[in-house]
Amino acid sequence: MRYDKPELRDMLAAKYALGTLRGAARLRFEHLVLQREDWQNCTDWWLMRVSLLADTVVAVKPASSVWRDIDRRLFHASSRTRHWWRTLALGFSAVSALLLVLLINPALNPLQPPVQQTATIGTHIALLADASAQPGWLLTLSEAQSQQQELRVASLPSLQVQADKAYELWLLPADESAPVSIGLLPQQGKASLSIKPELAAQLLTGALAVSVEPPGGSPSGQPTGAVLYQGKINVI
Amino acid sequence: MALNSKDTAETLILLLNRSGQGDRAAFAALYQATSAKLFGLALRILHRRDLAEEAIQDVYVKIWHHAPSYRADKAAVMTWMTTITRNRCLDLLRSLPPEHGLNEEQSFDEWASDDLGPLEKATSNSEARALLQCMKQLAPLQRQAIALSYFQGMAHEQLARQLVQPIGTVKTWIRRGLQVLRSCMGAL
Repeated sequence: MRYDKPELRDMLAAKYALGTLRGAARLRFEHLVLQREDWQNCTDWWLMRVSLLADTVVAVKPASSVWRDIDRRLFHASSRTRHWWRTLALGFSAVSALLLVLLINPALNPLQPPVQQTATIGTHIALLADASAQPGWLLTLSEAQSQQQELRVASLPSLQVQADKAYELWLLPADESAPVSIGLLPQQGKASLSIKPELAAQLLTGALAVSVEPPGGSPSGQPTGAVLYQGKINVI
Repeated sequence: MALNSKDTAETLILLLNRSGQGDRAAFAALYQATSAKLFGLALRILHRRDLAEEAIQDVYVKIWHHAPSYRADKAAVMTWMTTITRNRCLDLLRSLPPEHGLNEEQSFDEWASDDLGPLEKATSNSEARALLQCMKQLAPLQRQAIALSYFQGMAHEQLARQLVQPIGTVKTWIRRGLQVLRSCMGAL
């Protein structure tokens, strides 16, 4: 399809704002909007106009219990203002630490082959495990030799394979800024992901999360599917 | 409250930005200023008070979390919050069992009426009144199709069933309807 026609851009933006643009067409549209300012402006124009429909609705004051619940959820819950994936990360860290001890102690290790190889390669390793503490991948960060660092990834036998989906690895920076994609993880065997130098330092301080995404990875640049695995880089 | 006057829009930007910096008082004020409007929208979409209350809680939790990344050059605050509310409500609506479907009193007939007077009465915002004027240029069922897409998140297939029309007809109504609105509102 030709995307440089203003009429087409306008009609897609209108249908996007109204919500009748669906499925793959919607994803393609969202992708184009991120790349092109004129598409973004056109979409903003339509979102603003279409949202005026909401102004034809009679305003109704919600019960005071609604604000109390919002206040409690945001400011008085134990998770405070953390994002859901960060809340998850907290719970996972204890589990990963325990698994790490098991992994680096060969006598206790139930996952012999990947560990013996990786333990000799790097000094920084991470184990990504799911909510029931089943590990999915072992990551090894190589020592910096050149500009780029390398993150070696080995999938583990206990990984839940997702047919027709991809697993995407995210860095959750320690400063709680938005997740940064590191790359797609293999569902079997090994892979190697190159890490930009500016990301390498953050990798050591931040947490790691793996989300389920469409094949090829998240269309939006942020996690869109469920976060199934979590972990953190540890120094051994 | 005339939420869309220029002063109010600037106040909302200020409140949202301060919320983004962690100012809870500003956030409470933002809730005070906007929750009735968003709750009205949630009720219109979900038709159940308990569900609308649940949706509104989720919406303000999300607004608080996303306030730090809100940029004033993007969509106006009210558009942004309205879009969040609509999306959350439509997600909830889609997760409900089919029995929750529209009944006769909720079928958005006011949009199919020749007289949009009752809608105009409920609408104090001058820009929204202008939209209603433009909507008058559409055929009644065409207006209803657009209202059902917006308030019920209906796709072409559902619209065709609801309005008892062939799907091709519904698609054409929506496309032409949007073209009319484009030229009508673009000229304002």
